[in-house]
Amino acid sequence: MARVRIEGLQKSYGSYRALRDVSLDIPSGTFFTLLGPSGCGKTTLLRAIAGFHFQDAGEIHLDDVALGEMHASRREVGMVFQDYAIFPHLSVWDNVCFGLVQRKLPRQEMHERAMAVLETVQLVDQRERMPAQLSGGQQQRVGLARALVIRPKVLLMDEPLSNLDAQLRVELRQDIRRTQRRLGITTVYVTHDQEEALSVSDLICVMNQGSVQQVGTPWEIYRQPVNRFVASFVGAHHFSELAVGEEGAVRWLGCDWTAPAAARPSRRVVLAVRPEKLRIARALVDGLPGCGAIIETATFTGREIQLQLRTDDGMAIDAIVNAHSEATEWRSGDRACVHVRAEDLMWFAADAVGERLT
Amino acid sequence: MSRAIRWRGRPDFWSGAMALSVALLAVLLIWPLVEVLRIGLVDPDTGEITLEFYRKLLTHRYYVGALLNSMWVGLGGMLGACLLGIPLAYFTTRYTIRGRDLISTCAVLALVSPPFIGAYSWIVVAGNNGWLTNLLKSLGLQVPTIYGMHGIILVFSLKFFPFVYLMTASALKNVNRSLEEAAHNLGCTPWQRFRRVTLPLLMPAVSASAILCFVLSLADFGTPSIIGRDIRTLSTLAYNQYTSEMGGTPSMAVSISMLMIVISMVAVFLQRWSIRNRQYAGSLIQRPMVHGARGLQGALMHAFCWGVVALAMLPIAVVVYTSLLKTNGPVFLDEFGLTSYRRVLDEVPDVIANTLWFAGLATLCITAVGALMSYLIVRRESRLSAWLDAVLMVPYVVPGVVMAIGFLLVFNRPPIDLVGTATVIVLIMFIRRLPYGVRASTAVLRQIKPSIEEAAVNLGASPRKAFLSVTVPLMLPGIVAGAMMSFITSINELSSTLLLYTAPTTTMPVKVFVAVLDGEFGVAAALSTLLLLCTGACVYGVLRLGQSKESAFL
Repeated sequence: MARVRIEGLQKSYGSYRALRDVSLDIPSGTFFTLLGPSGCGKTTLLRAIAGFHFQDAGEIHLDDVALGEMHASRREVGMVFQDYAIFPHLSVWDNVCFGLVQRKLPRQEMHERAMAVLETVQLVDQRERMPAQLSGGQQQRVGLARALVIRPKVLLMDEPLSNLDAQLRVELRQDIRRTQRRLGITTVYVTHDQEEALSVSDLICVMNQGSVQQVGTPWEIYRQPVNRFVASFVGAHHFSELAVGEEGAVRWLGCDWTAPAAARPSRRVVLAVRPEKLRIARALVDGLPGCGAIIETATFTGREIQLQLRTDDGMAIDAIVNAHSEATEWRSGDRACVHVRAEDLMWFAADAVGERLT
Repeated sequence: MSRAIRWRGRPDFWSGAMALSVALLAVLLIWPLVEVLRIGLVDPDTGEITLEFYRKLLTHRYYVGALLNSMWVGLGGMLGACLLGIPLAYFTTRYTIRGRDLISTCAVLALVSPPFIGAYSWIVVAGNNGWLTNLLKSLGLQVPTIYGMHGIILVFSLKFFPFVYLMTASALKNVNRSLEEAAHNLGCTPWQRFRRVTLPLLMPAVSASAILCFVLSLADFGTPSIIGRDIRTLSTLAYNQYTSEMGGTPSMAVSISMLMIVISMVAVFLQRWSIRNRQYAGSLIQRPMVHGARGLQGALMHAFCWGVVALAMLPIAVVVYTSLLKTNGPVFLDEFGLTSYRRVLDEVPDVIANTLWFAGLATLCITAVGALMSYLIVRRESRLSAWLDAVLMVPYVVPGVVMAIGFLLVFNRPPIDLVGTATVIVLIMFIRRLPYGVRASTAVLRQIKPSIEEAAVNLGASPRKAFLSVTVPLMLPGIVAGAMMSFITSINELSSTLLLYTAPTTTMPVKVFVAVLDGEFGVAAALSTLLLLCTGACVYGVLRLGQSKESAFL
């Protein structure tokens, strides 16, 4: 169990800057997720912690120890790989014992620790099998067991579930979360899947183009994204750049809104809303701002209905409607009314960064 | 983003391996070739830089004739190999040809059999006193003998077609069925479909194998010197010039050598350039359809396939047969007996021991160094490893005669005086076949995910330990198959060892060559059969080990 402190980390590949001055403080025992699109630097950061490559500048501390250019084999951090990286020529048991043999543990202790960890990942019965005889999910559980058995100070996981099918992914991520809680081990987890990140993490760090955008609890990330990028990455849509009039007046969706005071000097603002926050009705609901629209396509996915609408003033807008809430079957060509509450609108500055305005 | 693990600055196991690799290539490859280049450009009497030798080479009829002959045998061998190899590949992959596995095995055997036995077997069959010549003569037919340009081209075609066959067949197996069905659907006849869709898709494989045949035909020394008669090619000329310039400066021989290297390189680059935009990403969904081969069409296809393979196997059969004939001195008697083998064991037992020793040692070095180099190239991407990769292409285009001349130029005086020693033979086998060893290991290594090794390091293994305990065991089948291939090619090495051998370091191919020139066909046949046995045993080993079978021999 260790606290991980990262200070001013920088890493370039030629002219490509993979990490730009990244600083993070990961408290001991947290499940900490690095979330971002591919190429955002999350894997580079993880591999720097593992010691698979070295940063150009900056430092990584495990508790009070600076890792510097300490070799990857001496860092005492466990790693779970995206492609499992199970040694195909060794049995499950020998895979799990690999790190213990490396540490020259006594036979008895090695046996006890390996058995304990195999019980945790429910693979005791499969311990004599060869990796080729295991399913993908089982292989990744071997990967987890192999990383945990050396009792690492930190557990690193690089998109461990991305090669598994959807249902297994949900099951296994809950297993991982449960195991992490029970052992209380500091975990750094990399994913590009927002749902996965929101569901397992204590803290999420959203990254883009090598920089940290926001660190917060899943709730904070979802409710209070600090900028346009974070908002778009956790599900906001319809970023519309609008002109700001006198007293912050903005016209959008056929209604008048008041932009935050911070937007007024620049005369421009970006407005966004999550598709699930829109309310779609057959007729205008009194007292709610909204406008008329035509349903262009309606896709029923079982859990919800995804609608693409065009408002009467010509704007295309997507909405997600709970399948049983209004029990209405929407068809393309139907007339509908789109409503939105003022508190569900998100305002951002109309510049490159797109900072959240309140 | 590079997935390679990098260690900055600090010397470790792999920086040592890199230093060793660079030093080996610099001393054994670059230095001799630079010396070859230099000698050809310097007047031995005045010490001034001159282009005189090259002028002579490109204007004098004697040399221009040899150059043209070389181009003819190169192009002829290439074309012949394609004409035999491509249809064979197409028939065996797209139709149910009986005995397909046997055809593949025979092709592999023809490919790895000693290159020079083809030539002299054809003398036995179709030489002045060959049985086919005599048979046809008794029927009143006057046919040309095997000697001459057409004979060389025939032998090369039959020797090198397996390259075209094996590479094209493996490409044919990877052409998505839907593409050919689409061509049919759009109105192509089978022939149009082959010409407009299938063949273009095969071009990278076909052209690569064709160029290989060209380069090997150009470099081959044994065949033209055995059946060429008055046909001089650049490789026989380089050899003769070198041996006749003994004592003086071999300026003319090295100029010829440089010309051969240049022609080979131009050929290789032309091929690469012509397929530069032809990288077809293979997303194989549907394996190609295999049709039945029935009726007249089927019979013709079977006749072609079996005919080609039978012709290719003919030299091997002839060699084994003649080795079992009783001899009285150089004269064959009309009964079976083991006299030839007895003569081999009595007269030249050390030749067999030499060959196995030299080739064994060379193979050991190739395997160890090859594994290290392939690791550096695949897993330690850097300028130096890219340089390694590029330089390792060089031995492919340097004919054996040329490499040998280079060795003789630089290792003939202190500090490295190796001429006449066994070491120089082992070293030249090593440097000539190292690229094949590296390529065998590289192919396996690319199949092993880098994360496997990172996992070992992450669990506490040092770089050296991770390599030895995880990577090497996974590479092992490929390494062993590669080692057997190196061994096969090393025991059959002739063109370079012929210039470097001395009486105590004679190898089996050299002895066979000398015996053929002396008319001692019995000894030659017995030695060749022994070579074939060793080769066959290794082929069996490779086929047992390799997952992709025939492709291991390319």
